Amino acid sequence: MNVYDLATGPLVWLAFALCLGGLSVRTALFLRLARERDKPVFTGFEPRWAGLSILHWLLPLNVTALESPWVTLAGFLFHAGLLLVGFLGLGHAVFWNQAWGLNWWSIPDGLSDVLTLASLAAVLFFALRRLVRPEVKALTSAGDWLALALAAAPMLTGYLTAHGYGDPETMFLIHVCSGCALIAAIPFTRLSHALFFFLSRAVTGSDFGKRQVGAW
Amino acid sequence: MALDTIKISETLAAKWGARLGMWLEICARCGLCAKGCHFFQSDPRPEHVPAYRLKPLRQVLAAKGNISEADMAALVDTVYGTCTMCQRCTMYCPHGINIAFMVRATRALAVSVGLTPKGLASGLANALEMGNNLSITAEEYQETLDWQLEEVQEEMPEAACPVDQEGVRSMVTFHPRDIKFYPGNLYSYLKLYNAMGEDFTFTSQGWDSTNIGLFAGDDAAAGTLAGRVVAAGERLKVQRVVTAE
Repeated sequence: MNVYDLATGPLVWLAFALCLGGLSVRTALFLRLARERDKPVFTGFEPRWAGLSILHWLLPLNVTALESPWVTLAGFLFHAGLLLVGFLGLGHAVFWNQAWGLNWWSIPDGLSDVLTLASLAAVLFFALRRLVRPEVKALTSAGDWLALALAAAPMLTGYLTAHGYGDPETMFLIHVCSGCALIAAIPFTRLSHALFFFLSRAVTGSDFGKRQVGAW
Repeated sequence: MALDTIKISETLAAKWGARLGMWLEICARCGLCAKGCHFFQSDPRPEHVPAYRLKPLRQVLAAKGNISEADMAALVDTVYGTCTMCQRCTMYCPHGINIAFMVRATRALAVSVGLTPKGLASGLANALEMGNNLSITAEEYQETLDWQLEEVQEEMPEAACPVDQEGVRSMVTFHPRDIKFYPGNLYSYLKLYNAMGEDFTFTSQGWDSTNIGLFAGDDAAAGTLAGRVVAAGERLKVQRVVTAE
């Protein structure tokens, strides 16, 4: 087995196993801890308010979208590029199909390019914001740069691979490895917000909702 | 006196929970919470960004409670001095992180080693001892109610000010400053409830709607103070308790 087979075979399996297994374990641990010593998570739960709160932030229907429109725009572009190209990019759609027989929509390469570049521009915006804005700079730690780098690496190398920059095989290998690193890191880093965004908004949406102050 | 770090670790362990861990982990340090904070809006220093208030908690957690007196003093300054726990920052947070919840948990660490700031500690002592945080006596309370009722009756001769009336719909509680500094507020409450025809009563016990225990981060005291309002409501068999700001 050569490096190429290793990266596109066992490494991908490992990344997905760590991601899905890790997220399942973390969900179970969160619910157990909540049951044992954080009862309001359950007793205060209001499905309607939880749902509205998630919806208001998955769509830009919130106070931050109005007051910080540029950060909101960058946030949406960043996540849209990452998720849409990640799941539906043509190369990826072929991969899903060949590896696991999954058939779903794919987006044309031209659109993937636009989404990827927009997403990378958002990464640049976030990085500059961390360096320039004093209040964000003061909060920034190594973990923030790690999270940003983990997300940016597969997008950048994917774009370079698709457009034939560098040695094609090496670039592709780096792309697969950095993609696997991103997927595997989700449950164990701040990227766990892929899961906890929903749990946190459910808790807070319920909490604000029961006071009849809107689905924040 | 040396800092009782064992007490701090115990309190830290007692305060640990699903929400606390989740929120500390997923804070993206984006700083968007600053838009909601009146401290930051009036004095935009990095220390006034709400997410910054989690720093002391992270520090104590990393040290497993074993922190220096200087760090503890900085913690007290941060969580009591730069936050009113109004929760506006949560409205602005994409993840819905409840920073006030964690500020309160951090305050509990200070409470556990007797570092509650003086003004809060004395108000809390007053509340526990006298039943209200401004040490108002029962006589003063009743006199002020009578005085404001007389004022209202000049306009509304039929107005009444029931106290300890059983079985009514609403038991009204309020801030003790309405007795001591702003009796005009009482005048407004009386006028409003009488004009509405609300079935209400004031209460001689458990009338202080503030809970300095909750604000200070002292769970035991918070339970005692809230328990008094509940007990008063149950004793008078009211349907609901009305709490003014």
